[in-house]
Amino acid sequence: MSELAEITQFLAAREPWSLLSPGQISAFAQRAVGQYVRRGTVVLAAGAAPTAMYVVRSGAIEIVDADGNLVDHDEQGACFGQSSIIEERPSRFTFTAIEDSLLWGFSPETVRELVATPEIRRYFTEARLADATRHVPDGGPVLQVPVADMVTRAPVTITADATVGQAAAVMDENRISAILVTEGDALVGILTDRDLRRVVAHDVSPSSPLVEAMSRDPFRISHDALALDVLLSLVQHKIHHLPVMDGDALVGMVTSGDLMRLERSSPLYVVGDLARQDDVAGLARVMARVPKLVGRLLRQDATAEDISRIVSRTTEALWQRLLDMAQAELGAPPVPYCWVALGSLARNEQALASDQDHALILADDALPEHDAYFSAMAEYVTAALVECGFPRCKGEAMATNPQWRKPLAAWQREFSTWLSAPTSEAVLNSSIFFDMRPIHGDHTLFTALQQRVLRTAPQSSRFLGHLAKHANDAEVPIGFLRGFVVEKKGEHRDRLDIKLGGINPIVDVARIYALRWGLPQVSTRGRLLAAAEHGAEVGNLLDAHEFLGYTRLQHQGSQVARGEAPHNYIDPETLSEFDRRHLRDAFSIVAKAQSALTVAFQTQFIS
Amino acid sequence: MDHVISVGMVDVDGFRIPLGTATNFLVDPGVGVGQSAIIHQLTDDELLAKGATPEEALDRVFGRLAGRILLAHHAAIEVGFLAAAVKRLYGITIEIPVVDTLGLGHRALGFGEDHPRDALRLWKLRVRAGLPSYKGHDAVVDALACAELYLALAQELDLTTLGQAIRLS
Repeated sequence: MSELAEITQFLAAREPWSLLSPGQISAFAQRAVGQYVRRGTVVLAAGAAPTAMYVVRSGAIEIVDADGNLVDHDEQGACFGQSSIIEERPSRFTFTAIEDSLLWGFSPETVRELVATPEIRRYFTEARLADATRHVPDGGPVLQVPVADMVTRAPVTITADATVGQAAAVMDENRISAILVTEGDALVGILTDRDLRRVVAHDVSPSSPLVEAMSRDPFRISHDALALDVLLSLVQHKIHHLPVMDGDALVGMVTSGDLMRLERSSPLYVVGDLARQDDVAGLARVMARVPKLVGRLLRQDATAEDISRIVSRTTEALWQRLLDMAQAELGAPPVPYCWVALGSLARNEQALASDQDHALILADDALPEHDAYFSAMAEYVTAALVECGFPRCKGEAMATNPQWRKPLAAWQREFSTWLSAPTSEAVLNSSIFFDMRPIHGDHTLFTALQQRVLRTAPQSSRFLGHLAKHANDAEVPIGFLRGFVVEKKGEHRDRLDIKLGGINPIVDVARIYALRWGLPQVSTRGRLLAAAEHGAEVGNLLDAHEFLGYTRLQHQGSQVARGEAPHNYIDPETLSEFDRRHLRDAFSIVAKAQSALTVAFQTQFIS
Repeated sequence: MDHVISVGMVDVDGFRIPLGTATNFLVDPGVGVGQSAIIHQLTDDELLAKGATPEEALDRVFGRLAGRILLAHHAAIEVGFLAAAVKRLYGITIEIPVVDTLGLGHRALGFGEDHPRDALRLWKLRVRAGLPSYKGHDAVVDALACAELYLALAQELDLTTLGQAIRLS
């Protein structure tokens, strides 16, 4: 009877062990050494020579390259350390246990015996090659792309006997900024937008021969050159277009725009791509790239503020495209309108896992019969947003709700009521509706509403008092001895909601400051900085906001990397001791800001 | 009276478990084993055919224990069996030093606190330590499970020496 059936079975079910006979697996299992490592333990550091190959029996290992970029996670059954042993070189990656892990170690001699089996050797080598390609960051070394891969369409050409006007017409029709001129099969010239500018400036007739306006014998590039060569040629010759040749045959053209577009995950590209989509499915596909974009920005060490601004800007472009599409389908709007974002998108503070909050301000000449149009518009956009990954707002703060789709005057009355007769519902609404930003349509409708609110709010002391009290209700998740207060049960047991307990209270404090002093800023950072000019103490709060925002994005980024749906619940135990300490500090800053509000607004005397 | 019908052992060297040291053998107690045999999927015939005599079994266990400390979960059971067998066969009373993962586990969970009744069971403690669940149920799997739990508890309690482990368990 095999003493190690449990171990042999585990290995036999996995590659590369499954390539061996049961007897061989059993013999190798005899040589494994069990080890237990705590979460946070570095098992093998980049630059160190491995003393063993490890199999992850349980737990999880995080793989980070020498620059600190997260490369991958190894889960149950994965092997690591073997490549360095086989090639007798130091490890390129740092392997850290991110959960308490049980590892089986195999000595270098055992590994060398293992790879004496050709199938095993091939498995390890191929896995490593797959790794090498996987480790190229999104859009990675874009300048190594062959020119042939950049050419997206057959070359648009015109014969040398055509007129300037004919060439311009073909360019216009094909929506291109340059056209190639041929004689027989040979490329003889190029006519660009810049040449046409000269034609117009010198009052040359459109019926004049093309050959007089074009650049003769243009610079060209071989189809097997790299994007890097394209960049160098364009810069060197101060041009924007390069014909691509296969020997003497013309195969296409690359432009400076194509080079920029190579940077596939750049935020500019995502926004540009959204503008080019004609259907919701296409928009959803582009939006699916956003989580990866966040991961990339985190690796580039962008701040939480910058990342959320880019995410917000992308969402904004999506909304704008959807509203254009809605209008194309429904026809022109019967009266002017302004589509506004509420909440985090309005503040330019969107992270991943956001729902949708929006409203419609209509011009005051809107008639009841016009509502059908705007209702259809709201339904169209809301449904499309769901398809693009933004769930409907649970509190129904959406333009599909007739309460939040009305003329400017009605909005002004609504806000006046909230400010003058604060009810708990008004206070609740304020956290959404006082963070508002125009996205599409007539922005003056928004400005009119905002100015009125900012004029009235500073005098509404009862309302501000209620707001301050409400901001104080949010419980910061630290308890006695500064331990974290985590969820006691349910799906998120042992985790804390970093948004509800940390980020939202800061947002609330900043909003109260904005209303108290009538500040037009909508972003939390903008509001706090402006409040500082009125004497508010905001330095620590700004830091805490950035830290909590960054921690949340990092958490969501690694969730995305693991293929999970991002959310706001963080297990403090998964953070480093350093980050845990900072998290506690950030939470106590939030708690202090809350009690400072109590003093400022004397909340204890209200209700 | 219960009889030992199978013995599973694995070495722990420092905080490492050389899996090749895992051994499992059957013991023929010399009487029919009845019900407990069904649980362990062993039959009297098998025990008769392959089982070691109680004397042989003791020799093998103490041979392995030489220079080592007995590690077990709820070690009183093992110690009781071993001491009783020694007494029966050789008429002497012996002391067996042990490290008990139940005691270490209780310390890791906190002595003063209330714990659910089964919180100190081997499998429950393993789940808390993030250790895998094993399907098999034989003596060597239990030995391996206990050894792995010991590594986890040693980390949890920052144990660096065996002496500490003995004192704390």
